[in-house]
Amino acid sequence: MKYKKRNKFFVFCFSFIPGAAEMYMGFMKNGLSIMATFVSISIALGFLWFAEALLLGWVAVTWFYAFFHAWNLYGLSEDVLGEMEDKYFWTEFGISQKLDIKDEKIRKYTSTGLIIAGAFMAFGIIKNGVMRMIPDEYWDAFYFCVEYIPQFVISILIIIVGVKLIKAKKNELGIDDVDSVNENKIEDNVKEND
Amino acid sequence: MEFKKKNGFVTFVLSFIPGAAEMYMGLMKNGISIMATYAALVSIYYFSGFRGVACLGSAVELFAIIHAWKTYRVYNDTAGKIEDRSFLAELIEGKYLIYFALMLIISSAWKIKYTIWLFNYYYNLGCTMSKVVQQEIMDTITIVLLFIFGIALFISEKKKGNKIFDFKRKIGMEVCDGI
Repeated sequence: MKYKKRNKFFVFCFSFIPGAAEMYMGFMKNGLSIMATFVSISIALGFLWFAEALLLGWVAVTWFYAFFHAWNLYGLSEDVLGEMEDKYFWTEFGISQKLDIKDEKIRKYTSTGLIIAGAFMAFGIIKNGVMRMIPDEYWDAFYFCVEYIPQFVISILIIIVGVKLIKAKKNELGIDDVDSVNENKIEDNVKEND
Repeated sequence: MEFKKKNGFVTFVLSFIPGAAEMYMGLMKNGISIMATYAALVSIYYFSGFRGVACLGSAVELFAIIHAWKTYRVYNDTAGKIEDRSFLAELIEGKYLIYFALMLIISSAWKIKYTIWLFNYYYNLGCTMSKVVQQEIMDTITIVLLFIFGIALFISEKKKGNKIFDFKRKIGMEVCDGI
């Protein structure tokens, strides 16, 4: 099927929304990955108030990338666009294909994200209810813990995700645990001496 | 990527946003690396208030303007056949390093001038010099070190034969050897 070039005015309007122009041009994966990244960083701004400046910077970088990416994509000819593969935007930076998320995993991650978001919403409602029941003299002792539980949980989740990414990268590169490698070497040396 | 000659006026306007002009020319990695570096430096300055970081950020911002123009020229001369890579990789290879050194000198010289003004301001307010020095010493030392580093880098690049402005090529004179 021949690719039909899209309306320039609509591309101009959609280019201000990260990922929307790519989706309008038919590159759903590409557009969705850009939009999801932009939205994720924006949401993180609300939770990670202590990293506000850093996240705002990343929001700006993502927005500019999305804007010019849309226009560069629109500038290609119909033949090239017709043959172009629809892939996640991070593969354009030479990041390994192993980060190409399969559709089944998207469902899993989306459902996990929805459960976490629902849990936080429920926590907020329960917290407001509990606040009315606790007497004022005891509230000062509980306030810090109750107020900062969501941020604490997110910090732990981020650490877990970071550790998993490091482990995944180590597995990809074939790097074993250093201690087990050394132990194996010592065992081999002992066997040779025997 | 297919070549399309880019508008000079748009490139000029976008050159004031670090990395935007490069992204406009289709060099996404290059543009993102400049923009991300600038954003990271601004964030660090926002957290720490450290003027040495602001000095480095200003140098990156000024360098980005020159980098945009240089890239625009090369892009049009080579019909878009430029390798898209991080600007840090370009600097490490020595490409445009002399311009970065010059911008570092200008940025740190400006900050030194501001620091001297600040010292006078505090002194006129009645603060003791020792208190002023205590507050500003880390910033001042860092900015002076950046200034010295900029000069050393500039001299090193000049010794390698890199020129900022090649008179010989511009005005066609065989005798003149450039700055």
